[in-house]
Amino acid sequence: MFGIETRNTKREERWAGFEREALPHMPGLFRIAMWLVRDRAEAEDLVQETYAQALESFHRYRAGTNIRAWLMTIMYRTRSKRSRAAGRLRLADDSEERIAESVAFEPSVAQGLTDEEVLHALERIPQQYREAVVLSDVEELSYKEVAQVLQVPVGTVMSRLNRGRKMLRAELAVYANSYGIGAVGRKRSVDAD
Amino acid sequence: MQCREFGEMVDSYLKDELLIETNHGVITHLEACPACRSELAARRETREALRRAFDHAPEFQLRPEFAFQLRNELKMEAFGKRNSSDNLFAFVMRPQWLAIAACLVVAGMVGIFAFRPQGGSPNELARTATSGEVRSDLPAGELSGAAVRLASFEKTEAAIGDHQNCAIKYNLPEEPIDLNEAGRKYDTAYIDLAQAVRSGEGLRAGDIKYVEDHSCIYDGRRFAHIILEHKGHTISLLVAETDEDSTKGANADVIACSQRDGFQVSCFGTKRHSVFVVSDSPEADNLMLARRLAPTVTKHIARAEV
Repeated sequence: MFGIETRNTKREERWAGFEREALPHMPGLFRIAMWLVRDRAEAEDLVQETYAQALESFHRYRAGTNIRAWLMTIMYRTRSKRSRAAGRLRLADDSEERIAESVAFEPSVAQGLTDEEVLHALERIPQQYREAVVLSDVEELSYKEVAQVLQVPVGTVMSRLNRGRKMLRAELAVYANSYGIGAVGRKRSVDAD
Repeated sequence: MQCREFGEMVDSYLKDELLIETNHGVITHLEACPACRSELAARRETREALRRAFDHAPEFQLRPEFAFQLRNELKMEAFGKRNSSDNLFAFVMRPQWLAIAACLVVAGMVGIFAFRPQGGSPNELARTATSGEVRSDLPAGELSGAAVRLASFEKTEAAIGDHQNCAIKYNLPEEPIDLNEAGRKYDTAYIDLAQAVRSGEGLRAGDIKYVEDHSCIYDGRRFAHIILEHKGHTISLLVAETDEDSTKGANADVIACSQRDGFQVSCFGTKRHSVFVVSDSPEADNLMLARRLAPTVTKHIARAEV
């Protein structure tokens, strides 16, 4: 009888911890899931599977560390597994690196743009760079946490962030210039930066 | 500090993660370096634009029903009450859960609005939309009686915390009941209210779809709750009896009462009832929906108030 009570107490404690720590991050997790897969049903599936796995391995989560980064890591791994199973995993190719190297610098003019335009501009930069930018600038993960989520070295994250942000600003400037917002003709090359 | 070092620290500076001494070094460098000041401003602006875009995009908003369902299913999983061969969602798609979820989200939002702490004047809270434009500078005397009454509920700061906590945790203390039954027992204005809305002018265009109706209680306040759908968003029409009669009588002016956590609340009132339209639609859409529903709802309730 005592054994059953102890088991129930443990379950209650585990659930209370999970509910308190992990569940409040559901909107943020869904937002990134939706951004990654672009389909509500698929994004909900991904979030559901992420939370199911997180619950199962909650004992491995170290209290005091960033649980959002931990959840995000599980979600990215889940998505990778799914993509592999569906044969959709696409590795970054050299052409994306070349685009990143040749991107021009633009001062930010994002203020005058609509949310849609900002998201469209983000879509125009290669995936590996925009993922780093979103995880760092939207989700506020540290370099180390972004590295953990994307499973790449910290140095790679810093490099992707640097290039990704420059590409994003260049894309935003294209939109802004088409509306006559911001400074036209202030371009300079990345190399000169 | 050199520009290169600043470049390495700018992220940590923006995230407020630097030690006081290092932070001071960054500020000193910024004061002397226009190029880095410009870089910082551009970085901050881009970051804020990105966050804003992610926060506002309707397609990135979590459905409250989904959150509620997943939370319950995970809880069952945690307590070993779920058959492992079941699909995680097979259980939770029951309509009554959807109703409870919608009820909770709306009641929570109304709670957040209604129990706003004192100090926010009606003028700050109310933005009239009777002419289709949002205004925030109306003197209290020009607001509708209902708007003033809605915006001046006096409740404690602690109640806000309770409501937020409850809405986030989706803890419903009592199951919803049939709306007409609630009408017979508690408030005659609820009788046939759903029928009136369904057959009213607001739904005639076909873009607003009726989902279901019930009556639910939140923090001791009973609501008539009609759930609708518009452009994929769940819309809730919530009617509650007010504590006292409005001296100015019924007024179908629709105002944008509050917005929080991606939810919009528009409201209007009758002599003894307050009506809220809550959704995660854009503010203009939510107002438009409330304005389309207002004539039918106020007419129906006013008849019961005679």
